[in-house]
Amino acid sequence: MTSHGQDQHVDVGAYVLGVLDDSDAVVFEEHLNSCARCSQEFDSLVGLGSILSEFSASAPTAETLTARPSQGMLDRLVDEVAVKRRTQRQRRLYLVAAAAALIVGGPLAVGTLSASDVHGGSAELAEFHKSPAKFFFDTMKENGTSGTDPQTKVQATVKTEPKDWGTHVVMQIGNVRGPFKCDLIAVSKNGEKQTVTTWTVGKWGYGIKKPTDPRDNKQPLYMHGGAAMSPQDIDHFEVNTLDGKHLVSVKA
Amino acid sequence: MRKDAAVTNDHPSRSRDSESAAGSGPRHRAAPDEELMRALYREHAGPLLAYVLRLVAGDRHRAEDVVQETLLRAWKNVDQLNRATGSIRPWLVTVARRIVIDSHRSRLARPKEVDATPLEVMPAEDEIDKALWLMTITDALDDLTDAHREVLVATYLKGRTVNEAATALGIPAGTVRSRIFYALRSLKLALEERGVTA
Repeated sequence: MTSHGQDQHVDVGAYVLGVLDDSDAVVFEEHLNSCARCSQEFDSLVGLGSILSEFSASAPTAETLTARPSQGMLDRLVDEVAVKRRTQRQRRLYLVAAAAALIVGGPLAVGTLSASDVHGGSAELAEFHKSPAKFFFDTMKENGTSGTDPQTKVQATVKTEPKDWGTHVVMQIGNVRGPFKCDLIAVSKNGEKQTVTTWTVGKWGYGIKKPTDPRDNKQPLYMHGGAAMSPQDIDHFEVNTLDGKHLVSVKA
Repeated sequence: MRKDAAVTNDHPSRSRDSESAAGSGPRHRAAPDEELMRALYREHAGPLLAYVLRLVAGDRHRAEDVVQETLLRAWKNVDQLNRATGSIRPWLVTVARRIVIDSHRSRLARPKEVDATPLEVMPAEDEIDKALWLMTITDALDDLTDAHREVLVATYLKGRTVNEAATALGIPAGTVRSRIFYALRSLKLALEERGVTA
């Protein structure tokens, strides 16, 4: 299997690596002594031998030399990313909610909290500014409790979170039509009542289920406020008009 | 999250890998996080696997787990990595090594220290250099055509002569010899592109 003529020049590669069979190596060495081109190639390639030698010496198994990551790994990574991205968005929302909670009591501080203060949260911050109560409602972990009054048909869902000062209460109310003013009352287990917040419902209402006029508002209303009771002391919430008509109750 | 220089600055995409990426790319354009993960995988998974296999005595299954976890952490920390200048490979090497050490500890069921001592976890500089070197050689070998890589593996890396390799591969010995020659020339170029002089 000796190579001849033009072909012989390429043997310098195998010779540099020391993988020519003995008889071929002897023949090539003779050629090398008289071929300037091959001498030059030899000098140029000889360093590769030591690089490959070090590379293969560090491999614990032959398979290590050619191992490539499996396609399965890429699939798993992309799946993980999809899952983590969803939970991260959730986490960012909580972060914004947490940051927002710090400024609820102090409107003067709002200006100092820029979107960049909240990790990746500029869109979320915009949502927060649009409607803090809706934002809290959407980002609070618990499912909340709901109630629909059999007479008035008003619907409300209330979510709470414990605070050092009492309970932060967030409410979604719908299928309610004014005009009237109303309030949200927290009623403790021993009957004590505290107003959480008050607001006005116009004639087009909020969260109207069966609109009869294009101006009827189909969006529910979100309100939030606080009560100076701990969550476990609250028995239920009531929504009443300020002139005393009961609209709906929700168990705490 | 942006995909930018920090994850792609090491090397131009290797032709073998970019084919598969081109095939799946457009479908995922809407998901930059997934694109980023694919880029991390494309650029670093192979070389990182080559390094990690050497840390775990060639245990393929374990090495894949480590590489997977390392790339996930890179993705999670991409904001931080993007701010860093230069290659993210030293970071990848450090994290992969830490995962290997930690998993080794839990395998031995030894009580885990509050935190591993920094000296134990931080690879020495020359170890990082060695790892980066290994990864670069892997990159360069990846640049070769399959046929060229095959003859280098079949002869030198597996300790066979040209004639033995020719029999094993079922191709003429003359073909093996000329392929070795052109493979070495390509390898030299590929290494020089990466700043490694032979």
